[in-house]
Amino acid sequence: MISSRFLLAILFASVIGIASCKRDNPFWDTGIVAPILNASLTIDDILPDSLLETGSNGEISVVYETKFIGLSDTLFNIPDTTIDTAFHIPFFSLFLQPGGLITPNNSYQQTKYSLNGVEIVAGKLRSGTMYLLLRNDVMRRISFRYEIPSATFNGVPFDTTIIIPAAVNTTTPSYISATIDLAGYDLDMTGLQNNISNTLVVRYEARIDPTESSGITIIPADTVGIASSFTGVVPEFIRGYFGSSTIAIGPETTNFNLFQRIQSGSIGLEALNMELVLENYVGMDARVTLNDIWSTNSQTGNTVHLNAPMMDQPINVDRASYSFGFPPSVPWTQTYTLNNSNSNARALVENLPDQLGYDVTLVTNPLGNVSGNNDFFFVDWAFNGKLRVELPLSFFASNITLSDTIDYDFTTVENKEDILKGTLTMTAENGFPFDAQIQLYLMDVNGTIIDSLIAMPNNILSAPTTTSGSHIVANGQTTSQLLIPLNEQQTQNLFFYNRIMIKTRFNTTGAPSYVQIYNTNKIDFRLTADFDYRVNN
Amino acid sequence: MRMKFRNSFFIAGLFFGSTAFAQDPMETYFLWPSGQNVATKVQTWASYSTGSDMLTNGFVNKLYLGGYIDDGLKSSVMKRQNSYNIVGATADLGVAGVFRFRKPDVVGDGVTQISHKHFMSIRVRDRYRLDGAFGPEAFQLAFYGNRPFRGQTADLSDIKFRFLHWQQVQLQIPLSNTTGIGLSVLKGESFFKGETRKANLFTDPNGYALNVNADFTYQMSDTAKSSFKAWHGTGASLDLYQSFYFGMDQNYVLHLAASDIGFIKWSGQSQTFQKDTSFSYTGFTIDDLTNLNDSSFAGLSTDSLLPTAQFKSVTTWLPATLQATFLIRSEGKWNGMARASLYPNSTARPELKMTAMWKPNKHFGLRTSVAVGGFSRFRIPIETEIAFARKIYVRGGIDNALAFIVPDKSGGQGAFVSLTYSFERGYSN
Repeated sequence: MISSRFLLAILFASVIGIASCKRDNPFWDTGIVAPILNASLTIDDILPDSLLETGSNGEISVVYETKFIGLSDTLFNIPDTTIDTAFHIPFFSLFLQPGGLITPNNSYQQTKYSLNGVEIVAGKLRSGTMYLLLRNDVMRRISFRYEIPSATFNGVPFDTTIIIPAAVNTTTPSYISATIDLAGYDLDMTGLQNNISNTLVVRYEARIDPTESSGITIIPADTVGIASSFTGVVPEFIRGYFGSSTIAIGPETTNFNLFQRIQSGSIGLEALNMELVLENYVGMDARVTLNDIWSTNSQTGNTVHLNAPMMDQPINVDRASYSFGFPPSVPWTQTYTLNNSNSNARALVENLPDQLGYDVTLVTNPLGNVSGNNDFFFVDWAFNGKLRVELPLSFFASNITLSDTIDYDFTTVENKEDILKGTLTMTAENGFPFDAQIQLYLMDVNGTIIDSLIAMPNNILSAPTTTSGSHIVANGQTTSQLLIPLNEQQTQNLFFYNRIMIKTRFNTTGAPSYVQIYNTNKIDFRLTADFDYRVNN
Repeated sequence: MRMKFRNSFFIAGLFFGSTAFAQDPMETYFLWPSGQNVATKVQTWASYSTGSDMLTNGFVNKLYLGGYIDDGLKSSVMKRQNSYNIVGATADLGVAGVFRFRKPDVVGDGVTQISHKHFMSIRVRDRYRLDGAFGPEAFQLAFYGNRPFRGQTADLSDIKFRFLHWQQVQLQIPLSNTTGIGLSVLKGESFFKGETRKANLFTDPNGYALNVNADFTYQMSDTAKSSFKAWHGTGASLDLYQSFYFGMDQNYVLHLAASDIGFIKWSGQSQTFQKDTSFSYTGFTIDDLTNLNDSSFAGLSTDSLLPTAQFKSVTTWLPATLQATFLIRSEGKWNGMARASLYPNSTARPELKMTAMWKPNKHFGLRTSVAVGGFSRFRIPIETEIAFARKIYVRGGIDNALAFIVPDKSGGQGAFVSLTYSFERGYSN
């Protein structure tokens, strides 16, 4: 006879066994066709709006302006200065009660700075720090008052009092330091009698701290001293006579960013307008000579020097005047217009430069101190030169190669690990009158190329073109499809890395005829995906 | 002593007809207290069944047990597609107690009669039920993606899915020797229901756009708790039975049963999402191609496609069963049965089932059936019973032998097992 308990045990074991049967997730693969993104690329997207000007017929010009000659850093440079002052009790010992004066009654001190021929009579500090180190040999606390009568803030002279701790013993002095911000102080640099320049007046007063409980005898060896250091002094404004000297500005180079994305190739410009603008915001006469101006293409190593009438010729620069507004001075300006007929400005730009160089000589106050110490200078407003390039987008391009890097972030895309493989299709409807050969490179964080993505042929064909006057213009759009096949590894790479370099090579239609770009030209992109997706419940 | 056969059938139907599922894998006629001194029987059981006229057993097994569903498996399902397909599943766990208050009446010549006044039963059940219906393109879209629909419209209309999980305390009382009633109190644990009315997805031939038209409703119970303790709905249900006897020896019996006529009212924290919308998705529009940062892809979440949830009470009708069973009985080893079933509030189709029962002795019984309809197309259920020491019945069976023989060409499967223990006592009346 089978035991009832045995049967019960079998039954419940079976039920538990069935219920606890291990289950995995089912998964299967599906084929998904879906649009990913769409975008339109106009000339506004390629170049910043701030650089573009649109003509009456919609033709586009690029206007690029760069300041490439600057003088403010070299004109005035006030060195860091340290002044040491010590007070001794001369000849004999002296007993001083609390409050007793150690220093002479009117201990004014004048310090004249040497500024290479520049005579400053007044100024205002943008920044500057005074560092004080005080010493006390007296075994009583010293009350030390430090005044700079010629430095005022909102009309109030600088005046501070510091308590120096008592010396530890007769051989061990005490020290104390203080740091004082001088930003915003007005300076009178004409001395106690207001008849000199570059001179700072200070006054010291040292006495036994009146709160001390008893007096003390001090001897000639006792010293109360102060060392004051001025560091990082930058004027906001200065006035005086700035001397007559010759200043070399350059040779130096500055970045020229208009073509920074272009890696190689050449262009031909139908026309170009360039203006060289010299501006003097300094209240000082000068004479400037443009020794050299050049453009450099670092990729090719090619340099083009500017040939123009004003080069190597002394140019008299008049002093600016106060504006009592903003900007603080009314500048002297001189504009030189350069074009195909009076210069090689077009060649300067067709060089596709990434750097602009200059070598300038400036003679200050060539006629001497004709202003009676009333030259002035606001630190942000000095002498500079600007180059303004107006580039009508009527050109031909041969293998112009642009490169740009895009950072992206797909970290929040859900279930991306279930996207197995597939093909991305980029459909481009090109409304520009040029072909574009495009390639996408997947990159790691160090900029190392991991993979190229677009299969050959990778051409976006030019829009249909027609001739309008002397120009070739786009007339409609041409559709091209680029395929990006992705195997499973490439798919995961796409999600793993987050940087893509886009390299595009342009060739205009009908070169060397010029194509004209209008504000209506655009490329419409549509990116679609056909991929295997693993459904994983 | 010979018992009066007529009444024993009724009691059996009363107590166990109600355990039938939509697929009815458990036709239990074995619990009635046959012994003179049997006072109480206790039964516990567990069962499940699934069925579909499209999904194969091989496919369902993968779906449930996990693993990779390859193209061959999907293809075997696609070969069985209809213009409209159904799927269903059910599970039932429970314990029952059947109590007899008196010993059988002696009606003469040693024949005893079991009266309806002698019995009642109480059951506690944990039940699951899934009903679904869908067109073939819904399956194709779900398991093949929209690539096959490039340039075409996938019709997703009239998709219906409803899942119920509830617990049931069921009191069954005979009203007469041929009539009975069952009353249940239901505790709703969870449910969800989704259905589309008019819905389709168009995939542009070039993949430039996905156009969706969708008129759908989705409802779900309170998600605050999901365990057995969750009480998110309350309901009641009714079971009714009536038997008719024919023939000289009343060898023919027509048994009518209606079970699970009831409802569950889900709490006010139930959520309803309803939307009738059309939209075209053309991908993300990138304003600045040189700045493909994460914000360019904002709104990738599908949450934005869902309407705002409405919190309100929802009432769901239970999937009911209406059955007419015709039984041909004999005193020999063989009996036969035919049953027609209807399943209101369910996606299951009407079902016809023919059963041959073989019981060579009182310790062993075997029955096999053929069934068409319900959730499946064609099934061969097999079940057996073994009695031990007059006190213990073990029953078990499978819902479809074809599930083991040709899993990739058959739909519908299930299994059950039950254990019944009889307590005996002497009667004083």
